Amino acid sequence: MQFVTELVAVIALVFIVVSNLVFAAFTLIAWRTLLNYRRSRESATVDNVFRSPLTPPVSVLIPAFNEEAGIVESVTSLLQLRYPEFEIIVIDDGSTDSTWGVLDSAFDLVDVRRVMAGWLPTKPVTRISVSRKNPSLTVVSKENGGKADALNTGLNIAKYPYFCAIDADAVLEEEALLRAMVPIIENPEVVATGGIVRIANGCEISHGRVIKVGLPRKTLPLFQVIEYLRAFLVGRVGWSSIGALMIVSGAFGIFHRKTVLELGGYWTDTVGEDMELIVRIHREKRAEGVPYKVAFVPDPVCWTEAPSSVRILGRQRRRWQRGLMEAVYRHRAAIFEPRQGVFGRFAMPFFLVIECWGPVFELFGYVIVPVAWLLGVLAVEFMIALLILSIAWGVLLSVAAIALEEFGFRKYPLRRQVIRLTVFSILDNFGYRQITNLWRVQGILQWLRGEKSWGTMTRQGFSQDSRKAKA
Amino acid sequence: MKDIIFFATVVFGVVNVVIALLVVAGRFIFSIVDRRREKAEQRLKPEVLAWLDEEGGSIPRRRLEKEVFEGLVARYGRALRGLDRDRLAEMAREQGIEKSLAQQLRSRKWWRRAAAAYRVGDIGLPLVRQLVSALEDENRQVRDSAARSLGRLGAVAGVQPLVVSLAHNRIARAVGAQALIDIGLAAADPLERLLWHHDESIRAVAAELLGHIEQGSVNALEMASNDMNPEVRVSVVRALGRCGSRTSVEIVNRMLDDPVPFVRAAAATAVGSLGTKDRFKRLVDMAVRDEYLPAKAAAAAIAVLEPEGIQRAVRAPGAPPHLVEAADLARVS
Repeated sequence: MQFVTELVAVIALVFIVVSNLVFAAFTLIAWRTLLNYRRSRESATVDNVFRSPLTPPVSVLIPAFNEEAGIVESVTSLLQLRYPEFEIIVIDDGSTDSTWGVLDSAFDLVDVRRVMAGWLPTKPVTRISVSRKNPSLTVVSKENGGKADALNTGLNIAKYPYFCAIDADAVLEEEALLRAMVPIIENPEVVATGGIVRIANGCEISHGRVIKVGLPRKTLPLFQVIEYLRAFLVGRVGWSSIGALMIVSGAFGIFHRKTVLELGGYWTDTVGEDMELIVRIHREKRAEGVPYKVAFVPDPVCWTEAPSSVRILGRQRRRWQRGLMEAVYRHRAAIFEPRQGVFGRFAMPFFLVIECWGPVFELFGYVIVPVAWLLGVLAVEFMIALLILSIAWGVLLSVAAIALEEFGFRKYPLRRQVIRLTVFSILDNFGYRQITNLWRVQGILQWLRGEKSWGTMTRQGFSQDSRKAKA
Repeated sequence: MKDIIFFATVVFGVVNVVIALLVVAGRFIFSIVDRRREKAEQRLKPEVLAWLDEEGGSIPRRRLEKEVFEGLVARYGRALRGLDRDRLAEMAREQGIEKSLAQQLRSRKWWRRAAAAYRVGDIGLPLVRQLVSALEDENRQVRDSAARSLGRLGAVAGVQPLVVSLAHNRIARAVGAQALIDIGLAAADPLERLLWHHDESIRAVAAELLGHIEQGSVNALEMASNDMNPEVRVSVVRALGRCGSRTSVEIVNRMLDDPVPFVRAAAATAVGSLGTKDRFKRLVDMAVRDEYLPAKAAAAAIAVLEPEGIQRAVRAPGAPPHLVEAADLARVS
């Protein structure tokens, strides 16, 4: 029993130390990246990108399923994007609410007969409409086939060399697309870029624009603000800097259309189509020995609505974990494969052990440590040390992410906002982290059972939330 | 064993604390710097405006204030053109801003060099030689800033180095391209020479830019229209589509028969832009029988050339689908 307990303790410690070291390194990398970003603000090439005739046009794809609450606000924000040439394609994925109707009322849609390229197989398209008010807006209605199928439909109809996949509940800042395209314009080897996604709950939004940035009033979205800061400002900046960014958020990502078409489009048999696509790009490009890059730009901002109920958040997290498991296990052959470089030797094993199975280790730890202590086989000092280490690291990582955000962007300018974020970054470790891990473990169980459903995500829409923020 | 675990715990705990403290301390230091800069900006704005109105006053001597002052002058200069900007440049020279920026272009810190290169173009200071040197800088942002400023200055002496930098991917293509377009006619000859560069993507960029710069390059573009690489031929046909001369119309018409579908598609689009109906029958044939991309482009061109005719044609039962699509889209737009 003593041996087993010590073995578990060592595994737990190694687990904490490895993830600790990686994220400590990423924090330092993020610090350096944001420092350079600050320094380069004045001489950034954004204006030239806007003026240049060589800036490639972009097709913006918005898959929408029952998004009547926020779709008009999203499309309005997209139509105001500062970008030389772009089209917007909303793909109504068999909505049962009035998604098409609200779009029709807002943008005066008229049916057109289009010839579909049929490059990617998708569920049948039932109707294609174009806005009379703004002909660069197309709405495609199709039979329900899931988000990946909707994106593939959009790829079949898109006409520009790059496409930007955006969630229907997202609001982009005016220059977000322009800034996210900069790495592609600077280096044609960049096949995909992603920008930072932030939580819109608590912000004042009007006519598709974030007028005033605020923090959510509710506890759950506030915890998610901290989570997103950690994930984007530390995790993605770090992975991107070593050339192994494993995910470009489905909420806001830009891709080279031809590359994605050549890879067969989005994989429709997963709920993590965004991650799977990036992992596939890494795997295929490295196998071919073709130079390529997947970049993360910490600056462009996409605002998205975070779930504010436990039920919906739990559903989302279970789905994310399933998506992660599906992507990593589908491409597990890349692990330690010599041609896969840093992606196969480091990123994939890290994701397999720390991200896929980490929640199981952590939950196991929460159970086994007190049990071992009760049985008298584990020293109380060790248990406390391990607990402190784990919690302290969680707190410090969150505090560092808030400091990075403050240092790089200052989206939350008020002192009370920073204090609130800091307090919640501490509280995050006492309950929220554990329940998130529990959801993730449930997600693993769903994956093991082969579940494929998306579940329903109820949105309240920005307009409603904005009113609350103003109140 | 317990000792090892305890020791590791302490070490990692300390490492964590140090990293977090570093980040938090850094954030506070930078916020102080930012606040000082913001205050200086607020204070100096009226002074800069007075200075621009020639009401006199010398520029600040302290480093931060001097930097802020130069930044404000550059920001105002960005909107100026012609004589107004020449006057600003003259004032900047008299007040030592030119000398200061020339010094900053030699700074050891890349962000100072990049900011200086950027400001030189905004203010309109003729530091062409220094900017050309900056195109060789080790830092990408400095090179891009220098390229932009050479364009804003309309520096003919910068054309050759810009073209070379563009050819070697040392500057962002969008930035280099815009700079060459800003310089204008003087860039045409070097760009024509780039049509024979070994890298096909550079040949494509050169062809595309010639369409924005110079109508007299049609002969060079005609030769490039036989390039082995279809991407280059697409750029050539796009450039010719902007020219509008008789020769360019003939070349574009010929390219409607290119063996590569997306080149034919680009040629059809160019025919639509040129407004020529010389090969209207060929366009109709493409719209009815060709592959997806050229058929779509040909139908769109027909909708531009014969807006009423296409609406009549698609009323007939069994009308070709691409023509129907083009007619529907034309009705909306």
